[in-house]
Amino acid sequence: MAKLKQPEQWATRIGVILAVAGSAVGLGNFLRFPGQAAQNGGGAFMLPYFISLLVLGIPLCWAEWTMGRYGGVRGFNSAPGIYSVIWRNKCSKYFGVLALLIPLVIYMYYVVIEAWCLGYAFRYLIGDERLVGANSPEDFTNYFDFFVGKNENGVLLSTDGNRIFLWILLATFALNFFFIYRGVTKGIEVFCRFAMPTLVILALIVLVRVLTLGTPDADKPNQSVLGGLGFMWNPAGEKLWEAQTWLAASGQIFFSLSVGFGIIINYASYMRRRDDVVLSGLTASSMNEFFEVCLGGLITIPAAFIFLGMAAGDYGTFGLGFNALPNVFAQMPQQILGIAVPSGRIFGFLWFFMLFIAAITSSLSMLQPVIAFLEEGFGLKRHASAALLGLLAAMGALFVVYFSQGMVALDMMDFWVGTVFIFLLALFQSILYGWIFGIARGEREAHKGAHLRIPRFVQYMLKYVVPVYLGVIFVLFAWQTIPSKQAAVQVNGDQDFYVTTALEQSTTPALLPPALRMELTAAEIKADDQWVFAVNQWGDTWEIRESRLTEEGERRIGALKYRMIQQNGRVQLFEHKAGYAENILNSQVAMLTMIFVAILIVFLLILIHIAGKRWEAEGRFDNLEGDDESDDEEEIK
Amino acid sequence: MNPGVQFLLLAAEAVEPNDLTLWGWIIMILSVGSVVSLATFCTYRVLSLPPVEMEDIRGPLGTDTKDTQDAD
Repeated sequence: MAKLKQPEQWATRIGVILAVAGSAVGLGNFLRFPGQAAQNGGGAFMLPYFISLLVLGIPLCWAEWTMGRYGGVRGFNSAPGIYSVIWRNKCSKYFGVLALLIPLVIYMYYVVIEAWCLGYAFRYLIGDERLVGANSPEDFTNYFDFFVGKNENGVLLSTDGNRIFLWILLATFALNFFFIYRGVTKGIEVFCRFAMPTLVILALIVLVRVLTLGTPDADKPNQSVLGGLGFMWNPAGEKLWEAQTWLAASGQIFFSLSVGFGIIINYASYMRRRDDVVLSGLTASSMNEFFEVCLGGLITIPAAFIFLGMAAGDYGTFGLGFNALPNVFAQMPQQILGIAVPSGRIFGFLWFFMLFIAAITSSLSMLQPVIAFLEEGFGLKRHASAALLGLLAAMGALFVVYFSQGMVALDMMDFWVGTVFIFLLALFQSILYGWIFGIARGEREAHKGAHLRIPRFVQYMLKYVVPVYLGVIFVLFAWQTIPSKQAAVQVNGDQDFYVTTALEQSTTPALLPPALRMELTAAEIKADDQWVFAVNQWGDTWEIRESRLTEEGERRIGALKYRMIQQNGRVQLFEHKAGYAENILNSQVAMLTMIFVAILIVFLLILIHIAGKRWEAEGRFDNLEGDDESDDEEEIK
Repeated sequence: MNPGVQFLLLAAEAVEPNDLTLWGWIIMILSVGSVVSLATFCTYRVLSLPPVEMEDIRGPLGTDTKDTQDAD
């Protein structure tokens, strides 16, 4: 029988729940989920969302917990080691590169976003006039762009930019590493005991305020609480037939539950042979869903809609949190019962402080997988591993901070590592569990010490349904986002574009002539002053591209915006939607980001190779074969 | 007409164009209700465990990584 732990380790039963919930809650709950739901059919999004939760999220979560604990009791805590234990093949450890890269790279940009939250909370606290005194959507957008250095690379490091952000980032970084340096149990558990109740209370205060806003502007009766809830929850049924809705729903589940991140498998490896993985996994998932659906789903979009109307749906993930909601706070009453109360400032501070707490509980868990690998692969102690990881993470975070223009570096990391690689790792792990680890062994392992039974059909689902579902989603996702696409622009209802000026056969890009600009305006296309156009060498296709003048007066031609194609005597206009593959070729920063990620992959693969050699030399895989039988014998006794 | 169906039709007609529709209400209540039920079930199961078995339940951040005693 297990011994009772010291009282200070688990002071109360509630402490257990808080610690479990603390790991699960993050920015995805309050920002990403509402944005995804509103953009993908509102209430209709919830059907694929719950199907993804039940078919992919919870089963894969259980599979990760089970495989992690299985590897852990056999002496491995890092994904490369655990995969080697489960799949005795020389290649298996190299798949672990994804489970190290994903948490490391996501941490690099996540800590920057975390610092934005802390920075905004601080600005609201001190009553920064540019934030508290702003009163138009443009003001908030401009402030956000200034705050994150969106207009120019390197501006956050120069005297022209928001240099105080560097200090905020440093403080955020130091706080993260203070906890991780002290050790998970000592630092984070104490933090969660205070942070989680604070987070729940803050979220409930904001929720109650949002649901009691009524109809703040009598001239806009539709912009009410019910209107906001309708905007978020009314189903747009036609969206169910679009692949994008299903892709967004499964992506949200992965991001939110941290499935396929390499985090769960690492933490599960520290569990003892008889620790519960089934109820623990389900509790963590259910707590995450509570914060996401019940708090995130009822706060963010309804609040934004009440003050911004239908425009709330145009804001993306960051737009909702850092542009739309500050608009909301600015329009909150300054007087309550005749007493001056800076309610917008108070709620602004509460909101961003809440986001900061949600973010830090997630970012802390992202650091442990690499620390565990450095420790067991190279015999480093915790402090040395944490220091080395700190150096790597700081380099990545500075990369994101320096290449801040258009947030291209952050976006590329989020797309390739925070989305594509997560799909790949989840797919690999589902195949590993269903076809190599085996569902019979998986079911037996999962139920050791379990306080809840997993229904048998979940095992079959993990073997047959999950890999196929994931594979289909991944192919569709890649097809929709990676290649570039063209969409015909409707002009006067017949898709024809009568461009007389475009018939000039100049292959040298020149600024758009007024006649062409007028035709674009007639087609409701707002042409930028710096757009240029040119015909191709065969004279049948004209391209409209972005351009900008450098300080030396040289014109730099940028991304393709529109194509006009002449076929059978007609000219049709097509909008060019650049895919992520083209983005890499068009942007030096995107290319640099990919090179940075590629270097990290190679570096980690080399480390995994060396660690694998060490493990083989130490004979760490020699006595693993009979373990399953001895486990079963122990269970019978 | 069935009174239940009649009520649903009347409710659907009564809402403002942008307000929460009947389907919106149903989806919101079902979503929030199912999530609250699941979280309550899990919390109840965890809290009703015997004290000795409580330590079997943990999330990532509550895990002892066993490398903090000899960290230098």
